[in-house]
Amino acid sequence: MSTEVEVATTGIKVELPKAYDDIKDLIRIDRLPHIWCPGCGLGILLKLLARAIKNSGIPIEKHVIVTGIGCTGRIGGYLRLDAYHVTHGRAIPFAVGLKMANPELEVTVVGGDGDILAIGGNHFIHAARRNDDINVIIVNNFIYGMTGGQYSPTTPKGAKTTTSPYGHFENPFNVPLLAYAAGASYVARWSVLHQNELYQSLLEMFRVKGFAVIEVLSPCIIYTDRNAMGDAVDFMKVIKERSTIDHNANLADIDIDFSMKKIVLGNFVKRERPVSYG
Amino acid sequence: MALIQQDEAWFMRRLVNLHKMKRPVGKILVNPDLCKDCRFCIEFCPNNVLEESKDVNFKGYHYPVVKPGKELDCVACRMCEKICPEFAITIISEEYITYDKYYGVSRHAHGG
Repeated sequence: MSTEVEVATTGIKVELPKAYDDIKDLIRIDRLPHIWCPGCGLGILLKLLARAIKNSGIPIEKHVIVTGIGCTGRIGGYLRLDAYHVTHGRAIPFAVGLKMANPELEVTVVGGDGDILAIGGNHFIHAARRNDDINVIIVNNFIYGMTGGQYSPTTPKGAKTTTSPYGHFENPFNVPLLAYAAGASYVARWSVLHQNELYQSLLEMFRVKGFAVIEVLSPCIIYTDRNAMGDAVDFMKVIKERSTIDHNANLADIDIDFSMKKIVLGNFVKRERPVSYG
Repeated sequence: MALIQQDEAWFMRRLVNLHKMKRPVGKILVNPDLCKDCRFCIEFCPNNVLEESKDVNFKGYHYPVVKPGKELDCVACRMCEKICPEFAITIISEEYITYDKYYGVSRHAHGG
Protein backbone atom coordinates (compact mmCIF):
# COMPACT_ATOMS: atom_id res chain seq x y z
CA MET A 1 0.00 0.00 0.00
CA SER A 2 1.43 3.34 -0.97
CA THR A 3 1.33 5.99 1.70
CA GLU A 4 1.24 8.85 -0.77
CA VAL A 5 -2.05 10.69 -0.54
CA GLU A 6 -3.32 13.81 -2.23
CA VAL A 7 -4.51 16.49 0.19
CA ALA A 8 -7.99 17.58 -0.71
CA THR A 9 -7.64 21.24 0.26
CA THR A 10 -4.27 22.09 -1.25
CA GLY A 11 -3.84 19.47 -3.96
CA ILE A 12 -0.26 18.67 -2.99
CA LYS A 13 0.87 15.09 -2.67
CA VAL A 14 1.98 14.15 0.82
CA GLU A 15 3.93 11.06 1.67
CA LEU A 16 4.27 9.98 5.28
CA PRO A 17 7.96 9.28 5.98
CA LYS A 18 9.11 5.75 6.59
CA ALA A 19 9.65 6.34 10.30
CA TYR A 20 5.89 6.41 10.75
CA ASP A 21 5.15 3.12 9.02
CA ASP A 22 3.91 1.65 12.29
CA ILE A 23 1.19 4.29 12.74
CA LYS A 24 0.30 5.02 9.14
CA ASP A 25 -3.07 3.28 9.50
CA LEU A 26 -3.89 5.49 12.50
CA ILE A 27 -2.87 8.90 11.13
CA ARG A 28 -5.04 10.55 8.51
CA ILE A 29 -2.33 11.41 6.03
CA ASP A 30 -4.76 13.11 3.69
CA ARG A 31 -5.20 15.89 6.27
CA LEU A 32 -1.50 16.63 6.74
CA PRO A 33 0.12 19.16 7.07
CA HIS A 34 -1.93 19.69 10.19
CA ILE A 35 -3.53 22.93 11.25
CA TRP A 36 -1.45 23.77 14.33
CA CYS A 37 0.99 26.67 14.44
CA PRO A 38 4.72 26.27 13.80
CA GLY A 39 6.24 25.29 17.14
CA CYS A 40 3.11 23.80 18.64
CA GLY A 41 3.73 20.68 20.67
CA LEU A 42 0.46 19.01 19.76
CA GLY A 43 1.96 17.23 16.76
CA ILE A 44 4.38 15.43 19.08
CA LEU A 45 1.53 14.44 21.37
CA LEU A 46 -0.47 13.18 18.37
CA LYS A 47 2.45 11.03 17.32
CA LEU A 48 3.00 9.61 20.81
CA LEU A 49 -0.72 9.03 21.37
CA ALA A 50 -0.99 7.11 18.11
CA ARG A 51 2.03 4.98 19.05
CA ALA A 52 0.66 4.38 22.54
CA ILE A 53 -2.74 3.35 21.18
CA LYS A 54 -1.06 1.02 18.71
CA ASN A 55 1.11 -0.64 21.36
CA SER A 56 -1.37 -0.61 24.26
CA GLY A 57 -2.47 -4.20 23.72
CA ILE A 58 -6.10 -3.13 23.48
CA PRO A 59 -7.70 -3.57 20.03
CA ILE A 60 -8.03 -0.36 18.06
CA GLU A 61 -11.80 -0.88 17.75
CA LYS A 62 -12.07 -0.57 21.54
CA HIS A 63 -10.33 2.80 21.69
CA VAL A 64 -12.40 5.98 21.66
CA ILE A 65 -11.06 9.53 21.66
CA VAL A 66 -13.34 12.30 22.91
CA THR A 67 -12.26 15.88 22.36
CA GLY A 68 -13.77 19.22 23.14
CA ILE A 69 -13.26 22.63 21.61
CA GLY A 70 -9.89 24.27 21.10
CA CYS A 71 -6.64 23.57 19.34
CA THR A 72 -6.28 20.31 21.23
CA GLY A 73 -9.76 19.27 20.14
CA ARG A 74 -8.39 18.85 16.65
CA ILE A 75 -6.40 15.77 17.68
CA GLY A 76 -9.39 13.51 17.16
CA GLY A 77 -9.69 14.61 13.56
CA TYR A 78 -6.21 13.44 12.67
CA LEU A 79 -6.66 9.94 14.08
CA ARG A 80 -8.38 7.20 12.13
CA LEU A 81 -10.31 6.02 15.17
CA ASP A 82 -13.73 6.42 16.71
CA ALA A 83 -13.28 10.05 17.70
CA TYR A 84 -16.01 12.37 18.96
CA HIS A 85 -15.78 16.14 18.80
CA VAL A 86 -18.30 17.42 21.31
CA THR A 87 -19.44 20.73 22.75
CA HIS A 88 -17.18 23.03 24.69
CA GLY A 89 -16.15 21.62 28.06
CA ARG A 90 -18.44 18.61 27.87
CA ALA A 91 -15.91 16.04 26.73
CA ILE A 92 -15.68 14.35 30.14
CA PRO A 93 -19.48 13.86 30.64
CA PHE A 94 -19.71 12.49 27.11
CA ALA A 95 -16.85 10.09 27.84
CA VAL A 96 -18.44 8.98 31.11
CA GLY A 97 -21.67 8.27 29.27
CA LEU A 98 -19.81 6.20 26.67
CA LYS A 99 -18.09 4.23 29.39
CA MET A 100 -21.38 3.59 31.20
CA ALA A 101 -23.09 2.39 28.05
CA ASN A 102 -20.24 0.13 26.97
CA PRO A 103 -17.74 -0.66 29.73
CA GLU A 104 -15.48 -2.54 27.32
CA LEU A 105 -14.36 0.66 25.63
CA GLU A 106 -11.11 2.42 26.49
CA VAL A 107 -12.22 6.06 26.52
CA THR A 108 -9.64 8.83 26.35
CA VAL A 109 -10.42 12.52 26.66
CA VAL A 110 -7.94 14.93 25.11
CA GLY A 111 -8.42 18.58 25.89
CA GLY A 112 -6.67 21.81 26.58
CA ASP A 113 -6.51 23.76 29.80
CA GLY A 114 -9.38 25.97 28.70
CA ASP A 115 -11.64 23.12 27.69
CA ILE A 116 -11.13 20.84 30.68
CA LEU A 117 -10.21 23.19 33.52
CA ALA A 118 -12.17 26.36 32.74
CA ILE A 119 -15.57 25.58 31.26
CA GLY A 120 -15.27 21.88 32.05
CA GLY A 121 -13.71 22.29 35.47
CA ASN A 122 -16.77 21.12 37.34
CA HIS A 123 -17.06 18.01 35.21
CA PHE A 124 -13.36 17.34 35.73
CA ILE A 125 -13.40 17.41 39.52
CA HIS A 126 -16.63 15.44 39.77
CA ALA A 127 -15.44 12.74 37.38
CA ALA A 128 -12.30 12.54 39.53
CA ARG A 129 -14.42 12.38 42.69
CA ARG A 130 -16.52 9.52 41.30
CA ASN A 131 -13.32 7.97 39.91
CA ASP A 132 -14.87 7.03 36.59
CA ASP A 133 -12.73 4.70 34.53
CA ILE A 134 -11.66 7.14 31.82
CA ASN A 135 -8.37 8.72 30.82
CA VAL A 136 -7.85 12.46 30.58
CA ILE A 137 -4.94 14.17 28.82
CA ILE A 138 -4.74 17.88 29.63
CA VAL A 139 -2.50 19.80 27.27
CA ASN A 140 -1.39 22.83 29.25
CA ASN A 141 -0.07 25.73 27.21
CA PHE A 142 -0.88 28.40 29.83
CA ILE A 143 -3.16 30.45 27.57
CA TYR A 144 -6.23 30.37 25.31
CA GLY A 145 -4.21 30.16 22.14
CA MET A 146 -6.89 29.72 19.48
CA THR A 147 -9.09 32.66 20.44
CA GLY A 148 -6.31 35.22 20.50
CA GLY A 149 -4.47 34.90 23.78
CA GLN A 150 -6.82 35.44 26.71
CA TYR A 151 -5.76 34.24 30.15
CA SER A 152 -6.71 30.73 31.17
CA PRO A 153 -7.02 29.00 34.57
CA THR A 154 -3.39 27.93 34.35
CA THR A 155 -1.88 31.27 33.29
CA PRO A 156 0.80 32.07 35.89
CA LYS A 157 0.62 35.20 38.01
CA GLY A 158 2.31 38.10 36.24
CA ALA A 159 1.96 36.82 32.68
CA LYS A 160 0.77 39.29 30.07
CA THR A 161 -2.12 38.22 27.90
CA THR A 162 -4.71 39.99 25.76
CA THR A 163 -7.09 40.23 28.71
CA SER A 164 -4.38 41.01 31.25
CA PRO A 165 -2.11 43.51 29.48
CA TYR A 166 -0.51 44.75 32.71
CA GLY A 167 0.20 41.30 34.08
CA HIS A 168 -2.14 38.63 35.31
CA PHE A 169 -3.02 38.97 39.00
CA GLU A 170 -4.87 35.73 39.71
CA ASN A 171 -3.41 32.52 41.02
CA PRO A 172 -3.30 29.58 38.61
CA PHE A 173 -4.45 26.02 39.12
CA ASN A 174 -1.96 23.45 40.27
CA VAL A 175 -3.31 20.67 38.09
CA PRO A 176 -1.70 17.58 39.70
CA LEU A 177 -2.72 18.75 43.17
CA LEU A 178 -6.26 19.48 41.98
CA ALA A 179 -6.59 16.05 40.38
CA TYR A 180 -5.11 14.30 43.42
CA ALA A 181 -7.30 16.18 45.88
CA ALA A 182 -10.40 15.48 43.81
CA GLY A 183 -9.60 11.77 43.86
CA ALA A 184 -7.91 10.71 40.63
CA SER A 185 -6.29 7.27 40.56
CA TYR A 186 -3.32 8.23 38.41
CA VAL A 187 -1.72 11.67 38.11
CA ALA A 188 1.35 12.53 36.05
CA ARG A 189 2.89 15.59 34.50
CA TRP A 190 5.24 15.55 31.53
CA SER A 191 6.20 17.89 28.74
CA VAL A 192 6.28 17.21 25.02
CA LEU A 193 10.08 17.24 25.25
CA HIS A 194 10.17 14.23 27.61
CA GLN A 195 8.92 11.86 24.98
CA ASN A 196 10.01 8.48 26.27
CA GLU A 197 8.63 9.24 29.71
CA LEU A 198 5.40 10.63 28.29
CA TYR A 199 5.02 7.56 26.10
CA GLN A 200 5.46 5.20 29.05
CA SER A 201 3.03 7.33 31.02
CA LEU A 202 0.43 7.06 28.25
CA LEU A 203 0.81 3.28 28.22
CA GLU A 204 0.42 3.24 31.99
CA MET A 205 -2.67 5.42 31.70
CA PHE A 206 -4.38 2.81 29.51
CA ARG A 207 -3.61 0.10 32.08
CA VAL A 208 -4.83 2.01 35.14
CA LYS A 209 -8.32 1.23 36.42
CA GLY A 210 -9.84 4.54 37.43
CA PHE A 211 -9.56 8.20 36.60
CA ALA A 212 -6.14 8.82 35.03
CA VAL A 213 -4.87 12.35 34.44
CA ILE A 214 -1.75 13.38 32.54
CA GLU A 215 -0.85 17.04 32.31
CA VAL A 216 1.27 17.69 29.23
CA LEU A 217 3.21 20.96 29.10
CA SER A 218 3.32 22.25 25.56
CA PRO A 219 4.85 25.37 24.01
CA CYS A 220 2.49 27.93 22.49
CA ILE A 221 3.78 30.77 20.36
CA ILE A 222 0.85 32.94 21.40
CA TYR A 223 1.95 32.69 25.05
CA THR A 224 5.63 33.24 24.31
CA ASP A 225 4.93 36.14 21.96
CA ARG A 226 2.80 38.03 24.47
CA ASN A 227 5.42 37.65 27.19
CA ALA A 228 8.57 38.34 25.16
CA MET A 229 9.86 34.84 25.84
CA GLY A 230 11.11 34.39 22.31
CA ASP A 231 9.94 31.55 20.15
CA ALA A 232 8.62 28.08 20.84
CA VAL A 233 12.20 26.83 20.61
CA ASP A 234 13.22 29.06 23.52
CA PHE A 235 10.32 27.74 25.57
CA MET A 236 11.45 24.19 24.87
CA LYS A 237 14.97 25.12 25.93
CA VAL A 238 13.61 26.52 29.20
CA ILE A 239 11.81 23.22 29.79
CA LYS A 240 14.97 21.31 28.95
CA GLU A 241 17.17 23.32 31.31
CA ARG A 242 14.91 23.85 34.30
CA SER A 243 12.77 20.75 34.51
CA THR A 244 13.47 18.21 37.22
CA ILE A 245 11.95 14.76 37.52
CA ASP A 246 10.75 13.89 40.99
CA HIS A 247 8.17 11.15 41.30
CA ASN A 248 7.73 11.65 45.05
CA ALA A 249 7.41 15.43 44.99
CA ASN A 250 5.10 17.16 47.41
CA LEU A 251 2.19 18.09 45.17
CA ALA A 252 1.59 21.37 46.99
CA ASP A 253 5.01 22.66 45.94
CA ILE A 254 4.91 22.02 42.22
CA ASP A 255 3.19 25.18 41.05
CA ILE A 256 4.60 26.59 37.82
CA ASP A 257 5.17 30.30 38.27
CA PHE A 258 5.82 32.89 35.61
CA SER A 259 9.61 32.82 35.92
CA MET A 260 9.53 29.02 35.35
CA LYS A 261 12.49 28.59 37.70
CA LYS A 262 11.27 25.20 38.78
CA ILE A 263 9.31 22.74 36.65
CA VAL A 264 8.73 19.45 38.45
CA LEU A 265 7.71 16.53 36.27
CA GLY A 266 6.95 12.95 37.16
CA ASN A 267 4.43 10.20 37.75
CA PHE A 268 3.14 11.57 41.00
CA VAL A 269 0.17 9.48 42.06
CA LYS A 270 -0.87 5.90 41.46
CA ARG A 271 -3.39 4.46 43.86
CA GLU A 272 -6.39 2.17 43.91
CA ARG A 273 -9.78 3.59 44.68
CA PRO A 274 -13.21 2.11 44.04
CA VAL A 275 -14.49 2.93 40.56
CA SER A 276 -18.01 4.26 40.11
CA TYR A 277 -18.80 3.69 36.46
CA GLY A 278 -17.04 1.35 34.09
CA MET B 1 33.41 18.94 15.19
CA ALA B 2 32.83 18.32 18.87
CA LEU B 3 34.16 14.79 18.57
CA ILE B 4 37.65 15.88 17.56
CA GLN B 5 37.91 18.36 20.43
CA GLN B 6 36.94 15.70 22.92
CA ASP B 7 39.33 13.29 21.37
CA GLU B 8 42.29 15.62 21.49
CA ALA B 9 41.95 16.46 25.17
CA TRP B 10 44.95 14.99 26.96
CA PHE B 11 42.97 13.40 29.77
CA MET B 12 40.70 11.45 27.46
CA ARG B 13 41.41 7.78 27.06
CA ARG B 14 41.35 6.66 23.48
CA LEU B 15 40.75 3.20 22.18
CA VAL B 16 43.80 1.61 20.61
CA ASN B 17 41.76 0.32 17.71
CA LEU B 18 39.67 3.46 17.30
CA HIS B 19 40.51 3.66 13.62
CA LYS B 20 38.74 0.36 13.09
CA MET B 21 35.59 1.22 15.06
CA LYS B 22 32.39 1.75 13.17
CA ARG B 23 29.50 4.04 13.87
CA PRO B 24 26.23 4.48 11.97
CA VAL B 25 25.78 7.30 9.50
CA GLY B 26 22.29 8.70 9.35
CA LYS B 27 20.68 9.86 6.17
CA ILE B 28 18.21 12.67 6.87
CA LEU B 29 15.15 12.70 4.66
CA VAL B 30 12.98 15.79 4.97
CA ASN B 31 9.56 16.13 3.42
CA PRO B 32 9.61 19.88 2.62
CA ASP B 33 5.88 20.22 2.08
CA LEU B 34 5.12 19.20 5.65
CA CYS B 35 7.66 21.50 7.31
CA LYS B 36 6.53 24.67 9.09
CA ASP B 37 9.92 26.11 10.12
CA CYS B 38 9.59 25.65 13.89
CA ARG B 39 13.38 25.08 14.10
CA PHE B 40 13.08 22.33 16.70
CA CYS B 41 15.23 19.94 14.67
CA ILE B 42 17.89 22.56 14.03
CA GLU B 43 18.20 23.65 17.65
CA PHE B 44 17.97 20.23 19.27
CA CYS B 45 20.40 18.37 16.98
CA PRO B 46 23.34 17.36 19.22
CA ASN B 47 25.83 17.55 16.36
CA ASN B 48 24.49 20.70 14.68
CA VAL B 49 23.99 18.95 11.38
CA LEU B 50 20.96 20.87 10.14
CA GLU B 51 20.42 24.43 8.97
CA GLU B 52 17.65 26.40 7.31
CA SER B 53 17.35 26.16 3.58
CA LYS B 54 17.65 29.13 1.23
CA ASP B 55 14.53 28.31 -0.76
CA VAL B 56 11.03 27.81 0.57
CA ASN B 57 8.31 25.20 0.28
CA PHE B 58 4.86 25.81 -1.18
CA LYS B 59 3.65 27.46 2.02
CA GLY B 60 6.64 29.81 2.20
CA TYR B 61 8.52 28.15 5.05
CA HIS B 62 12.23 27.42 5.11
CA TYR B 63 12.79 23.71 5.67
CA PRO B 64 15.86 22.08 7.23
CA VAL B 65 18.73 20.85 5.08
CA VAL B 66 22.05 19.27 5.94
CA LYS B 67 24.83 21.81 6.40
CA PRO B 68 27.39 21.69 3.61
CA GLY B 69 30.38 19.65 4.74
CA LYS B 70 28.46 17.87 7.49
CA GLU B 71 27.07 15.02 5.45
CA LEU B 72 28.89 12.41 7.54
CA ASP B 73 28.26 14.01 10.95
CA CYS B 74 24.81 12.56 11.57
CA VAL B 75 25.11 9.66 14.01
CA ALA B 76 21.45 8.59 13.61
CA CYS B 77 20.38 9.47 17.16
CA ARG B 78 16.90 10.27 15.74
CA MET B 79 16.40 13.34 17.94
CA CYS B 80 15.11 15.40 15.00
CA GLU B 81 12.74 12.65 14.01
CA LYS B 82 11.31 12.51 17.53
CA ILE B 83 11.10 16.25 18.09
CA CYS B 84 9.47 17.06 14.75
CA PRO B 85 5.79 17.87 15.36
CA GLU B 86 4.97 17.82 11.66
CA PHE B 87 5.81 14.20 10.71
CA ALA B 88 8.31 15.63 8.24
CA ILE B 89 11.66 14.03 9.10
CA THR B 90 12.82 10.46 8.88
CA ILE B 91 16.27 9.02 9.48
CA ILE B 92 17.65 6.06 7.61
CA SER B 93 20.72 4.45 9.16
CA GLU B 94 21.85 1.64 6.94
CA GLU B 95 25.48 2.61 6.39
CA TYR B 96 28.41 2.56 8.77
CA ILE B 97 31.60 4.56 8.77
CA THR B 98 34.92 3.90 10.47
CA TYR B 99 36.43 6.68 12.56
CA ASP B 100 39.50 6.39 10.42
CA LYS B 101 37.53 7.42 7.39
CA TYR B 102 35.66 10.13 9.25
CA TYR B 103 38.69 11.93 10.66
CA GLY B 104 41.01 11.28 7.75
CA VAL B 105 43.60 8.52 7.78
CA SER B 106 46.63 10.54 8.79
CA ARG B 107 45.00 12.05 11.82
CA HIS B 108 44.17 9.07 13.98
CA ALA B 109 45.84 6.15 12.35
CA HIS B 110 47.27 3.51 14.69
CA GLY B 111 46.07 5.16 17.85
CA GLY B 112 47.98 8.41 17.44
